Amino acid sequence: MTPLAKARGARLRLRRALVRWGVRWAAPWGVLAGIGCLQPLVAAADDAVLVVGLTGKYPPFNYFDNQGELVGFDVDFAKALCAPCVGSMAITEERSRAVRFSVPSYESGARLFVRPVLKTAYRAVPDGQRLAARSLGLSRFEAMRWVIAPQMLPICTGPALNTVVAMIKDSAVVSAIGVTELTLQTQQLVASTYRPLELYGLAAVLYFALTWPLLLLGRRLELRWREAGLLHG
Amino acid sequence: MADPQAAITARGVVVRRGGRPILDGVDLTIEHGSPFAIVGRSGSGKTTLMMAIAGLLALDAGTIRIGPSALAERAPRARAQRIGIVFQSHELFMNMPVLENVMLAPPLSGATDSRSRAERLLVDLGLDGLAQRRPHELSGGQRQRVAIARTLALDPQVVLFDEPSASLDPQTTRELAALLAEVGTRRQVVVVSHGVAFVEQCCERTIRMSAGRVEAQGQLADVVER
Repeated sequence: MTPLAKARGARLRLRRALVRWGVRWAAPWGVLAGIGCLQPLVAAADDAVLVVGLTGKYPPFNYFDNQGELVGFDVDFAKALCAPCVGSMAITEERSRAVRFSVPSYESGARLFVRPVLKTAYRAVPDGQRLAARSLGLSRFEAMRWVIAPQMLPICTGPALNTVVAMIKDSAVVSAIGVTELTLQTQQLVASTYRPLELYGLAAVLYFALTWPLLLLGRRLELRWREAGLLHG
Repeated sequence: MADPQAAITARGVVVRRGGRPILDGVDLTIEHGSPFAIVGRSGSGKTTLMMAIAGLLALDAGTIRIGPSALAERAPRARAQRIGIVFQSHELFMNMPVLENVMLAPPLSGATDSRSRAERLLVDLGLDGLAQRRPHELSGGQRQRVAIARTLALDPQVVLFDEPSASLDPQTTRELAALLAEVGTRRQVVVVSHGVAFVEQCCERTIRMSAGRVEAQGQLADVVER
């Protein structure tokens, strides 16, 4: 073998090892960490001012009533908008310096889902495993790292992947509050091109392309763990 | 005063669960020697006593010494090198193959030859060829021997066995008794069992537990209820 081929072989082996490591460890924990980080959406500060310009010449959208007050759907909408100004933004320390966050207006369901999944997985690992690890002189952290967490992973990956798939599909819902994602973008394109069948079809294919590989990944991992005796039932 | 020569010394050991004493003032001295049996009915506190000796649960009162120094004074690593336990349910780590089970702990305590040592132990215990198997692929008897190998890998001076003969067939039970006798030649073995038939095969000295106390101590033939 030439040195070049040898080097390529080594590189390939390294890459394969990295991919294998990625599929076994990084990917599932990464997915879990990702969902765990989803923070609640936030509302703007109380004293924010929203300036809305209206002509008052389009009843019933905006017009002046008998008392000379500006009224109409647009006015009602602007007022409603001022109450909670919703933005889908995770609250981080860094952002808190630039944005005045109010009390979160809602929690992402996925985030609520992850904690019980992890908790259940922790409880599903028999207590004897912890005792055995401790009896061998492992510290709490070492027992978690080498014994408990590797056994939790197979248990929580299925439900976690489920959540991710559901979340990708549910992401269409945020188009209702004006976040430009796949569904809203498609709607806008349909509005300008009048080709709903092709465009919604394409959107469906894209949603499928996002979620199907996750499903396959989940099935593969599950099979592997079942063979290793880490999943039952 | 505790005998510094004894393998295990327990003085006034009390363990409570929900206000109820499980161990109610246990005094016990196990001198170095042949395998020692702790017998008693279910609920007499013998398994709790074993867990306490292994340092896996906190005492509400009293002291336990393994050799010269008290259990409470030991860091987990040092304790594990002094005293090992083989659980009734074996508790092999399901996420790793047999060999990794056996060689997980020693490197954490600074051992550098853990692989060759683990491989030798597996051969000694008749487990050669099973090193890369997963625990769920093994029979009950094989799992138990892996658990024994895992405990012996740290070379502890005292090894506790919790109900080792549970769910073993008669032939495997006889082999286990021979194995315990052999393990006991180099270190102190303590067997907890409710089955007198088994401990008769490997132990001479015993205590009988009842209601969280030591009810009788002496030679197995004298102590055992007939």
